[in-house]
Amino acid sequence: MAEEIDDSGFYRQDFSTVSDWEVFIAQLGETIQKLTLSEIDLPSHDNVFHSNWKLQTETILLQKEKIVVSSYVSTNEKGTGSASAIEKVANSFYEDLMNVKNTFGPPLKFQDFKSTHIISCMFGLSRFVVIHPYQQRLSNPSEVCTFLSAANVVAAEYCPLLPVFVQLYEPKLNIFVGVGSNTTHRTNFDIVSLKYSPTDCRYLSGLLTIFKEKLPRNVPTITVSVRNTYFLQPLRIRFPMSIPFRQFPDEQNDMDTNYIKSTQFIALPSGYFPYANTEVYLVYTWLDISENFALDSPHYTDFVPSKTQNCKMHQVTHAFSYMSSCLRDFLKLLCMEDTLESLAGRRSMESSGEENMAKALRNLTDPQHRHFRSSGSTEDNKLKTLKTISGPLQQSELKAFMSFLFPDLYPADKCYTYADDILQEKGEIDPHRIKSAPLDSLCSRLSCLLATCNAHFGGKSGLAQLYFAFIRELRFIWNFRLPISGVSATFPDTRTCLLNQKLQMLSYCIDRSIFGKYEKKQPLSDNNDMNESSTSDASFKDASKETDDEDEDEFYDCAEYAPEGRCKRLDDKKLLGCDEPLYVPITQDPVPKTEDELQEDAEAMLKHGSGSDLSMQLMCSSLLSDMEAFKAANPNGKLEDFIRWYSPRDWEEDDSGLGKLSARMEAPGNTWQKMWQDAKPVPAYKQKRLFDETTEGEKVMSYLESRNINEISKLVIITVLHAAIIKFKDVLETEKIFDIFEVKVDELLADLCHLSRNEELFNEEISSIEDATAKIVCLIEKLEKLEAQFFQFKCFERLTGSAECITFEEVKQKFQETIENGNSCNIANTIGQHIIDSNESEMQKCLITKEYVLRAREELSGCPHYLRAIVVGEEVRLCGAFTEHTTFI
Amino acid sequence: MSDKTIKLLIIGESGVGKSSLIRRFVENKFDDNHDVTIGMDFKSKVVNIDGIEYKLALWDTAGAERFRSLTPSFYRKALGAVLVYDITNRESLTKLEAWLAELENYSDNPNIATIVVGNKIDQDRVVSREEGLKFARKHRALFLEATAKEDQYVANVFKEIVEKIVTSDDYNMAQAGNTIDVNADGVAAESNCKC
Repeated sequence: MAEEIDDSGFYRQDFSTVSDWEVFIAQLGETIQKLTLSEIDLPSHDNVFHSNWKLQTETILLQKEKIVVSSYVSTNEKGTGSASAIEKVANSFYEDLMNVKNTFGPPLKFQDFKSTHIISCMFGLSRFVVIHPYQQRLSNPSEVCTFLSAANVVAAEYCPLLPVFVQLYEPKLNIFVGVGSNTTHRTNFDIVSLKYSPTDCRYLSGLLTIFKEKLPRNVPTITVSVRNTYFLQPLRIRFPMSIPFRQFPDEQNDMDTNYIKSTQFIALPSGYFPYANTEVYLVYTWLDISENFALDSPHYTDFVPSKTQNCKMHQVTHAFSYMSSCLRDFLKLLCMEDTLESLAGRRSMESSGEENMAKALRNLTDPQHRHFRSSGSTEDNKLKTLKTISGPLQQSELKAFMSFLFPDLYPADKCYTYADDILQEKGEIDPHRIKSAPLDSLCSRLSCLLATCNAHFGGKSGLAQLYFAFIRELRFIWNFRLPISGVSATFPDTRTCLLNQKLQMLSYCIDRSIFGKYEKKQPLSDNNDMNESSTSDASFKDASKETDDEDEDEFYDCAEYAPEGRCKRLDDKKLLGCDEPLYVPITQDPVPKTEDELQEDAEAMLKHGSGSDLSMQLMCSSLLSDMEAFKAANPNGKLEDFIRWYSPRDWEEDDSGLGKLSARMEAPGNTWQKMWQDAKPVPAYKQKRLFDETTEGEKVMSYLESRNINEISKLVIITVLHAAIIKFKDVLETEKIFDIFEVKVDELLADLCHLSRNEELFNEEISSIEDATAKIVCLIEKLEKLEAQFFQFKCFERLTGSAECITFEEVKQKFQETIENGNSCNIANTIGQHIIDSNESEMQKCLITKEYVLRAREELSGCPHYLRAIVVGEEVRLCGAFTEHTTFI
Repeated sequence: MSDKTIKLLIIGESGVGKSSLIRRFVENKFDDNHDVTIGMDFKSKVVNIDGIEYKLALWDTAGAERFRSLTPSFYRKALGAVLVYDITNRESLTKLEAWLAELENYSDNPNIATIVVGNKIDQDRVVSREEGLKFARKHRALFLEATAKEDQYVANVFKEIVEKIVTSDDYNMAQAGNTIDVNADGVAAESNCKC
């Protein structure tokens, strides 16, 4: 800067000649001020390792080079007290350096260290600024000097008491130099890394010497903190891969081989990848002791495990299970649009459809096929057809899968029969309300098998082959109208997933046609002995006569005018104006629909609005059908009679017993009136059917047959995830440790419930497939974490379990403590003693890291001096912060 | 936005005035002899709650017993249910039990919000307010009495239930699905540029 005094006394300043360096300093100072001014919260000094960090970054230019300036502040959730906080902040970094709480963070390897900056770990600082060139490194000494001197000026002029650091060399080396100033003192921060250090530097004795050389005179006692980290032999437990329906040649029976035990059979792989292990670190700490308190030299050391109570065990588990890996593989299918034909071959597709269809009619009318399941010869035929599907699966594997899915078609393998309670629709509803399929139902089995096939039986072409074989079996079942086991033949339950609903629909269609056929073959009985089956779902009988009887057998035959399709009397009511009883007609059943069809209906209604032809048609068809059935059953009936049965509230009777239709029914243009006029007397069985099981069943089949790979995976992914979680839960329950994981597993199920009900998940108009995948991956990651913890528990159990003095409950309790404290626990107790005892001999070899922190403070000025040494083998990293008086330099 | 659509079911016995409530609310009309609803009917209206516009999809069900087999399919994805009874008819209140059971059975939303509405307070009362209140309390529902004919408290019925829905954790969780992601992305992007 140049200042001139003008003749006229006018004070003029000319900055046209300032150097780049000066401009840089001005910019830097301004930026730092801007970054630090916006701090609303004061930094927290409590513990830099457990607080949140606030990071702000600005970029400035120096000779066209981008320079990044970042400000780091640790913030505390608790608001800091105002008065004391200001006091503290006056000397903030002095306090940070001397704060014992900031001495040792979590051992470096154990935590994701994104949150705490390395500078903070080295010096315990809670507030600092870092400067470094953008995407470049500083190694040229003159450049370093430029930056450092700029930092010096800035630290003194712009931001007293805020340490400013300059990053040198490669970022991964973590080398910084820095400076922090106030009016009279300057603290220099420096980091040195020695690959091969002198032996002295690796022990407290040598470090004290170095430290003292740097100190001014008259510094009172030096305090020392030490941390020793031992790394024990990693624990490995083999849980070999186990895949449903695949026999492995007996592996050598290692002592280490365990199998994951479970009680339920869920067709997903289990076991952990071979490298699964748990690393165990023991950490011993001596905090803030006097320099004279302990000896530590190459020849003798006081810092041995037996001499401290401050010891912790940390665990790091690397374990990935085959199950999660199978789920991840399956997820990849969500974006594969391969068609089944491209994977399983076009020929195999065709042979399923038409050929079988041609036979179907013949078969349908042939009563022998009713007993199909017990005839052996047809089964051989089926095996041949299975063979023709090309794909990586072997025939025996495919047969095993098919007999798992359709146990009644393969009576030889009885072991996979479905439990009865799956079929009971009114069974207990899943407490988590996950929109998937009942556990171990056909849908659930298929879903798991598809995932397993994709992971272990030939990838997506294996999956296609299996799906294809499944469809073919299903087509066979449908063509012969055999009952499907493992699916309830009820109305599609919209609380389950779409695939399950489709299968329910198919099952319902089959059920109806079976009952229809049976009735055809039965001699027509004139009276009320019809209900050989008590199934209330028995469909309306398309070929039945008026004797057919849906629910109750009460039947009065008093036809005068050829009434048809009577079901029962309506209490004691009589038709108006004559002495005939009022009959409730047999009516058509309501129409079952799967949720995609419901969605279409609802959308159509939304689109066309109320009162449109379409919605009228949609809604009125069943009313018209009922009116016609009523007319047929009550030839002398009037609309009034119909209303008395159908909508009793619209029939108003006064005290004298005289009744009339409600005003709204009598209103001109009433739809009911109009419709009544149009209705002809037609009994239900002669009516056009509201629900045609043949068409509907065929619709389901063609829906299933036309899926491609990603559509199949969307149909089953939720069910697969659900089964996986249940499988994991089952393992935990078998091991009797579910209580430790209960909360987490429930969380997982709740997440899945949310995911399963998220209509937008696979709606491509709203969210992309990547988003959907990301959400599912998030869930799988949580499951992986829990699975790793299960593995960790097994290791933990082994580590501690062989001691007689420790009960299983204590082990569980300790493990829970470990989990809750970020995989570390205090081991100054029986369990700890046991671990130390069993590793005593090797302890010295296991010592991997020693850390020393030396602190001293001048009495009058309060100036801190600080040295941290991290010793790893021969390598030593020294981090020093020494304060000097600026006045006397 | 389509995701601000709230589906409400209006259920209750035949003739209690379900369609009339909707008609009053949506079209501000009343007709003593409104056509008897067949199956389902549908109307929609945009309401403004705390500055946010929600599109209400009002699904009017037929009260007549015979239609019950038809209606459950429309219970899907409903966020709330308005249970209507007629204060001049005690049976219409007791029958609400059956409607609630049905709702419980068919709704795929375990936390569906419910409001019990006693309609026709312009007429001579048979069912006391306390009875209605008791019923609502028993079923953890909101409660209100209204008249579609005289247009009293009709708008309140819909406002109350929508407020209840949009302040529920469930609803906000479902809505949060996207917003949280956006935030997370923002944070990630931020930290990237600092590295």
